[in-house]
Amino acid sequence: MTAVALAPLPEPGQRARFRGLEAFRRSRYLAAGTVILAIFALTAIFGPLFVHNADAFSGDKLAHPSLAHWLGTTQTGQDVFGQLVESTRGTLLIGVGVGLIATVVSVAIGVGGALAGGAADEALNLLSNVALVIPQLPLVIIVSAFARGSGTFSVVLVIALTSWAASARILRAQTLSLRERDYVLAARAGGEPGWRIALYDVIPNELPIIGSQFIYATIAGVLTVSTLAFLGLANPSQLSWGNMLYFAQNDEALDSGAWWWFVPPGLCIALFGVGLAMVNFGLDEIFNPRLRGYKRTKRER
Amino acid sequence: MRYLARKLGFYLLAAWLAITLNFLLPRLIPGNPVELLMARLSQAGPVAPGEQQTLTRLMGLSGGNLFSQYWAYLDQLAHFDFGLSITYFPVPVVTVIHQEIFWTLILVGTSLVISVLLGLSLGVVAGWFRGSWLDALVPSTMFLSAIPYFWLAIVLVYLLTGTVHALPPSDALGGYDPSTVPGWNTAFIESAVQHALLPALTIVLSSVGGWLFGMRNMMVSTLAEDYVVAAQAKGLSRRRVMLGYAARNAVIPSASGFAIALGFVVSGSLAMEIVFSYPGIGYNLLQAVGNDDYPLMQGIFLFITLAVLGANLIVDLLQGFIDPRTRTAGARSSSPGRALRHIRRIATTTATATVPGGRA
Amino acid sequence: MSTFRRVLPALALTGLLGVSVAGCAGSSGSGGAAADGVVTVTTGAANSFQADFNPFSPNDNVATNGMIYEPLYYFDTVDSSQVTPWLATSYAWSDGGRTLTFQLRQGVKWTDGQPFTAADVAFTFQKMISEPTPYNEYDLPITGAKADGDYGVTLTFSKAVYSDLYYIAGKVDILPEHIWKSVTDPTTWQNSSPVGTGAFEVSTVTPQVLTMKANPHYYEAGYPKIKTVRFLSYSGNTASNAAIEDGQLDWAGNYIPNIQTDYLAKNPKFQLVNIPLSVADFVPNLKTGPTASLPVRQAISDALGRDFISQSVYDGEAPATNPEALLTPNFSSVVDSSLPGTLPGTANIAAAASVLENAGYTKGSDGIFNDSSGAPLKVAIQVISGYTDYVQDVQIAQQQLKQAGIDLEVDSESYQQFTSNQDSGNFQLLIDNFGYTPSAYSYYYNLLDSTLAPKAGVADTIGNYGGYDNAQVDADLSTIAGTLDTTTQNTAFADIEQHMVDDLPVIPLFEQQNEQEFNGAAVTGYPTKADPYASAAIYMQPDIGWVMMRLAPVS
Repeated sequence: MTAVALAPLPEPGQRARFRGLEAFRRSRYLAAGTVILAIFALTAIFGPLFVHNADAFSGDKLAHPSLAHWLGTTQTGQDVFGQLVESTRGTLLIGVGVGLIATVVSVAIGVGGALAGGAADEALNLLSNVALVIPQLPLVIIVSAFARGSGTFSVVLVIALTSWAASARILRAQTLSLRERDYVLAARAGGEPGWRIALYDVIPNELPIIGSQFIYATIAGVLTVSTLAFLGLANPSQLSWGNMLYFAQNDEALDSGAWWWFVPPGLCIALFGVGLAMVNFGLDEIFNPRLRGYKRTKRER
Repeated sequence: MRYLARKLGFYLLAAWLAITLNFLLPRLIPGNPVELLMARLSQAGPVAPGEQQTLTRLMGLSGGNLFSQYWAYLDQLAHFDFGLSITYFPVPVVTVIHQEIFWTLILVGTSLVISVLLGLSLGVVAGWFRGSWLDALVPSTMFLSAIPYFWLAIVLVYLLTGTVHALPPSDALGGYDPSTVPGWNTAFIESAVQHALLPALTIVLSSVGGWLFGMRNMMVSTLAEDYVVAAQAKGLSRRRVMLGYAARNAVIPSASGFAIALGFVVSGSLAMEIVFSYPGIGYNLLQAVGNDDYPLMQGIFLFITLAVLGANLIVDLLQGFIDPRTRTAGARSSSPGRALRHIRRIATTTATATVPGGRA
Repeated sequence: MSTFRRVLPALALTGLLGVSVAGCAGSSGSGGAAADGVVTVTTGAANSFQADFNPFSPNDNVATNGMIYEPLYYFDTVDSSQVTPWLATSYAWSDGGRTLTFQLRQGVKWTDGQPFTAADVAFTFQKMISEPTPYNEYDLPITGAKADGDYGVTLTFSKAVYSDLYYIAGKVDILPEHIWKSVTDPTTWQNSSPVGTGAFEVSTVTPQVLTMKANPHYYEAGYPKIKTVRFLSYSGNTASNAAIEDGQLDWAGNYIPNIQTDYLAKNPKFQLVNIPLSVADFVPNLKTGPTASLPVRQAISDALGRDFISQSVYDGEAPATNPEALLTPNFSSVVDSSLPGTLPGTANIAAAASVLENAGYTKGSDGIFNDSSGAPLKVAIQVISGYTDYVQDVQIAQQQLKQAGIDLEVDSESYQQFTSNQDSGNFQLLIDNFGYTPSAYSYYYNLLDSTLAPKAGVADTIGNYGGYDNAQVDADLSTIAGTLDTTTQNTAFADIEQHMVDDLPVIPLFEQQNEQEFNGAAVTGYPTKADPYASAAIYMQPDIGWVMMRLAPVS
């Protein structure tokens, strides 16, 4: 995370470097990560159409994986694979929702504050720093306890509103240094209003960082909501990977030997996170020339 | 000195904000802790109407407007009076917390130290030997940091105690062997260490990746700096350059990532205490939430927040000590009119900054 | 020296230390510790232990009632005919059930050495009159308590209390006058070093472990048979189940899914004692909402596939119940044998449909019944989100009811929210269980008596959450309470049971599983189905005291 903060910003015009498929050729990580994400996205969008009644209880308890049930069944006879597919949509929606909201907030506060300068910047910076040091999970647990019963959106909002601080700080640091660039100074001297500067000069050049912060926020969102669900603080009737783990744990899936119920949801969370991290890593490699892979010469060895 | 004063001021402000947030949260939501307590008491038998006043007084919610309540709340805090817990009524919140805070601190502290040391060391090595097989460490630690803590913990327990039988199942439960007596005796300390292994291992595995990854990238960036090349050209030994010049400067930004990392470890340890039944305040927080026990919730949250703030303050002060650039950083002004003077000042501070890093 | 080099030995040392410590791990899992007189138990409650032994506190330790403090008689919760002397040796009724005299046991000492006399009993009951909160826990209509000499006590009441004998003699903890007379705030007093007459005393309290030691001066020679009891607390069911399955616990009361494979198969000496103490019901709101109409309740009851739920969620360990929701064999003596022995185990969709159609409902195009105004039949059921088995029960019911054309919506809530809604009647349907008493009268009273129904502005509703109001049933209950004649009582019971079938004030599901696990390799002397001398449930008080002193280590 810290590496991206100190990466040299591309000069105006260098944005064009990211030329479509060429990027995938240059970074294996980016390619691999995108493939993983694509699989999850497709499952989330189209999966539930092919899976019928994942919720249906049956007498087939804790059945091993078979042709009838690709990932076996749960304690109450529900099809694990079907549940996994349906949960993908729920979890991804929440994760992406958190990522979007957190990123929007951090851009507004980080970029906006740095450009505004003066007292506004000091105040917003102070707010970010304070929000950063307050531990996230305990706060999320408590606030979600208070807001219980108000639905999924409030969970999304709560997690997003407690995770924007790190990105805001990074964006502020970048914007502060970007402010002093010639073209920005010229725009300010020319009397352009702040929002135009932000929208046309600053943000487009910070897109790589904003993108990577969005990815981190999404990973964090998925992990936090899965933890909340695992702890029993989410609505248990809603299908998500975290809720699957909650029921699996409560029904002692692993202890009963039913690894097919407990392992896949956790693996999905991990794979999704890895996919996102790979994309991040790949983008990092493309935009930060110092990080690009190279073969070590005989002399250096 | 100015730096110290500024940092202290910031953390005092953050602490005040946390305390105020703590005060406001339960009051923003409908529902009255006294009513909840009455409902709970009534399950043990009929409750006299006069009881409500007594309880209101005991819970520190005696009337008045918001400001007088806030003042009373601050006063109570100053006396370490967090009120009475609803879950454990009539035991005071302070009693509940102080029995278990010790365990959480030990677990969090040890895991943090181990994962920092391990992650930084491996990151230095991976960054230095870039392009070699060590680069394979990166995706595997990426994978590890994307795994949810609790899932990893449960799978580890299953594998280590069930399939591989490397550890007895009793190790995965509780903070110590119940047949030992807590105190400064070998039996207890031995069993405490034994029971802390699995939880700490899981936290370390999940968080070491972040440190490694960040450190590696920083190393790679730093390796391209002029002073590193100069040091190599001077003919210094590889290890000296790696550690004395590159690692030393690369580690500095990690300190600012400490705040975030500490947050992760605290969050992770909460889930870990549930899985391993570790007697820390983590599952007390969960109990409090499940029982709408506002006083206990507030007490634990405040405790965790103030502890985290304290840790961050220490790290910030350390960073100011190590890196002179941070001390002067705040002196930069940010108003548009002084742009040119600003640029010139950056140039001078960057020049001086290259010097503190290298020490032969 | 380089950071890495410095760190490496430390890392290696930690690793070696870890392995070596793990290697010399003791045999703390074998459970054979009972041989040295230590019995390890857990109630499965996920709270850490606090030193709260005040019998009037809502969170007093499970050891308080029965192990530390004792009542006058022991009422066997699983066999209502068994009433055994405990601190008292005999009792007698007079004045039509308004006066009760007890003869007390002699030679009993409090754990601080003071002798136990009638003055203590009189004091305990006298406090109910002078300070009803918190002393009069059971709301007894007591008017007087007087000691007759050192070993006799006379209690007088404002009305006949035949049916309250269980509370008076079986639940009230007798307190030491010399300690409690100077207690000024009994609601908040923790009583961390309690003085009682019981077979056990408090040894140490830590958040994870509560240790009780045998009372060396216990009046009954040879009891208790074990020297130390260790209560353990865990973070939740999963953790305590893992410990139970590993044989670390000698007595526990957890619900273990797949108990055959996960527990019983692991050691032939592991034993399961499952004697249900309560019946799980859907509680409908009888005053407002869709469930206030009898046809809707009948349709719901018909549409449930109870056997499937029991098999699926409880592995078959939740036995079927009868239409009048009376536990058998506990209440067999009052069961009306003319009624069916059990409820149907499978859903009867046709019956549900015809009941609704006769009441004016018509099936909509989406398969859900609509009432005469076109509104779909939608019922919201509340469940505590942490009770995963109830959540699963309700989710299965949702699917079953949908097939019958009823839209069941699941609302999962926190414990406090659920209790608060239940107490104020703010629900349409909820799932809960009732019982835990040896008295069939108390069971029906708490379920059906109209005076208990939720009232506006009152926080302490103890029963009849649905608001059932039937004058005939109220009269039956008064009849039973006012006499000792079993024939009269049984006639009244039969009438109540008929109303249970006709009016469906609750929709019974099944008998709630009550799995109690005993490690037969470590302890013996516990109650079983063959010998139900007490309830085997570790959470029942004062039964836990009765059983704990009879547990013996296996040599």
